[in-house]
Amino acid sequence: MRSQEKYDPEDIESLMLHKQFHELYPEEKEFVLRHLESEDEYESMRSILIEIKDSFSNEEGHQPDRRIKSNLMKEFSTSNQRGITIWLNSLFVSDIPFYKRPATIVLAAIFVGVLFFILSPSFFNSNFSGNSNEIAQSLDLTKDTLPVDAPPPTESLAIDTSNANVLPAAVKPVVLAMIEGNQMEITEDVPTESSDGSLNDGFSGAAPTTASAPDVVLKEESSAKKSLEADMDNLATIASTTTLSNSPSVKSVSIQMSDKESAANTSVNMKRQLSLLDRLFTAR
Amino acid sequence: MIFQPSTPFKKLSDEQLMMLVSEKNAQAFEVIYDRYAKLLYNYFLRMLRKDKEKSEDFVQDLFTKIIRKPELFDPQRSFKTWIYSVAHNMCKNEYAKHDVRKEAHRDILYRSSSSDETNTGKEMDKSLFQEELNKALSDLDANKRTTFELRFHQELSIQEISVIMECSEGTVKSRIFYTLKHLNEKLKHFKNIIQVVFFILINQL
Repeated sequence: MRSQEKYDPEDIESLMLHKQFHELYPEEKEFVLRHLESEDEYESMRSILIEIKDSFSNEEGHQPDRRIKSNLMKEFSTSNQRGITIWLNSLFVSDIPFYKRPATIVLAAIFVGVLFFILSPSFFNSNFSGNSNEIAQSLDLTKDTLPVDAPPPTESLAIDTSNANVLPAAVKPVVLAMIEGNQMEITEDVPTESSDGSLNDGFSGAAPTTASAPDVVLKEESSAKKSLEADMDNLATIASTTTLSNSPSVKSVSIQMSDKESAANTSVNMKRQLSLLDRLFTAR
Repeated sequence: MIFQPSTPFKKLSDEQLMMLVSEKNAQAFEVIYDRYAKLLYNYFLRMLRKDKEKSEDFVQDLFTKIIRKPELFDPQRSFKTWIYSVAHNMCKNEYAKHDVRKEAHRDILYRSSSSDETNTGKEMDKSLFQEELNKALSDLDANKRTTFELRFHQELSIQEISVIMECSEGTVKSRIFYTLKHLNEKLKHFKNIIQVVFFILINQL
């Protein structure tokens, strides 16, 4: 041990623990002898100190009664009845990074579970299938309007020629669209003139074409069927409120709505009805 | 297993544990108890003349104070010095109530640190030495005895002892020095007796 500029009684204790008297430096001896009487006293104190340290280090000590701990833990729980706070403190431990905290992990697990539930096929399909059913029902007009087992509705279109001679202008475009769209030509003989030679169709403009048309082969496309049916709906609706005058003949036109399977029959009927209408137009 | 536990409580410092105790954390309190209960119990045993019941009461009272008023501990200071300060004050109050010194002298005659009757010769020497040591310490005043106990039994530093006993470091050093000198005077003859007995036994063999 190097000599120090300042000695104090604590150094005597450390000197005694580490050195015998003859091992001391001259400065240290001088310092020791300032506080102790002789070398014998130094050695005597040194042996006592070593014995004390040895005795205390080997002493295992006594344990307090275990009931003390249990009593204290009960006391702690009763005096600190804040279960939620303790639980929250254990979740929000501040000594660890944010991503390692139990609360963060629990929230992340909940979030992943909710996300999985929302995106799961069963959850998605149950909602979508419900919507799809609704959409299908709304689009499936034939199902609602035309039940399969129900007889096709029939509407009779009665053209009352005894009344006014005016045919609403809305009828002509519909009929022309039906003709043009279906590319149909009239095959039956169509009377070109009425009995009185006049035909008041109520339209302005050129007179309709004559009936002396060559035989026409009925041509129908699949897309024209639907438009034909729609047009027939319109015609039936309009014609039900339409009155024709000076018609050479009064014919009742039966418009039979058919389902998809009897679309061909509908086209034939349509052909006949168009021929009748043409007769009306040409007669006027 | 996705979840990983947070920092174990046993790795936290005393000051960190006390902050958790003030937040009503029972696990932190349990760790504090496990660290200091035995040390304080043996300290009380030595300061209260081996009175087991009273020492256990003191341990329970001290930790009950921690439970009820954890805010009394200042996190800025060392918990070790704080808890020993509390223990020291409890012993001081006890000395003020009773004249312990007279009882201590009587108790030392009838109690020893080791009561095992099957001790070997060396262990008997140690047992006898401790009895003599305790007897010599009982002659000292409370401050010197406490200083000696904290220094050599609890192995605290001079600075820590000065904080606990609210005195200067020089005072602590002086007390230790004079305690050793006193013990040397009291136990010198005991050492001599042991050496003589040992010498005799060796010669007979």
